[in-house]
Amino acid sequence: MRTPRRTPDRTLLRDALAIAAAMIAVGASFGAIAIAYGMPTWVPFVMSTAVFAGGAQFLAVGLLAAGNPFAAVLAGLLLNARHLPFGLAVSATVGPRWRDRLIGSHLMTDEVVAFTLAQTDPVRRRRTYWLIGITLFTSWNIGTALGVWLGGATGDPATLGLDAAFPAGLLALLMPSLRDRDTRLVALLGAAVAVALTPILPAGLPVLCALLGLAALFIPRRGRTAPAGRPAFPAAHASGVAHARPDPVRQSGPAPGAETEEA
Amino acid sequence: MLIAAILTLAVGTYTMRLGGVLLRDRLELSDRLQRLLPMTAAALLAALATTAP
Repeated sequence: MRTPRRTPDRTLLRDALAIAAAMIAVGASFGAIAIAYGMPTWVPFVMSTAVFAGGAQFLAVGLLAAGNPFAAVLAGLLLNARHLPFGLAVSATVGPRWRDRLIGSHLMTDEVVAFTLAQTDPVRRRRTYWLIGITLFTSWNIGTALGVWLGGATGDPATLGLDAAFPAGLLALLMPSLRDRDTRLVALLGAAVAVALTPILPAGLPVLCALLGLAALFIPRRGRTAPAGRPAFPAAHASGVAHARPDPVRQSGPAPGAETEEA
Repeated sequence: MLIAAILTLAVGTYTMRLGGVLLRDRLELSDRLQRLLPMTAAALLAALATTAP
């Protein structure tokens, strides 16, 4: 590799800083929303430390506020089922030690997996996993605390524009994965189904019905490839905060044989 | 009720994270499923964003 040895590490630190900034912002919107929805103060803190999954936290808080805890748990678990294949993918990076496995698993998020898999060297992968993971956990919780403070201090959510923070925070987490065409179709159809069913179903169920959006994959289109033939982890390579910075895959430079997820 | 729901979500999420890490050699997910799971997540989040209370 021609690149000087220090450069990639500096890149990694810069990535970590960009992620931290983005996660503080999104975490703050989560914390403020939880308070604006009338949740007790401990709820966002317990969620951000114990669940530590942005999308599922927004989802759960929304459905809990709507008064449907069963839908909150079910939808949250469905949302987080993607961590199972993520775990398979980063297992070698996390390593065989039990301490690493137990702690490292909790740090696993879309962003961590994306940045880790963008690296090819095992040592660098490992460094990336832990640095990005710890950075995310820290900044997400700092952001949550900031949001709780802001949400509590203002009283009226509308004064800070907190009523807009909910869709904004969600979209920040969602947008990168929509770069994948099939994912975009599934998401659009799912959202349409949920909107259509909202007037007739009890709170919480329309969101679950969004799973019907997967039917979009079976709509025949000219020249489309089968889902199985596409690279795995469409969301992972670009999820979360990738909008705050260039694609991590391209950061690795022109190293020959570097495996990219956008094959 | 609130704490039970949150803890169930937390334990379930951690189990799936740890499960993948531990089962790497014993669990083979089809490419199709590996691709469907993140799409499921996108559909749920998009629905939540558009139907937000």
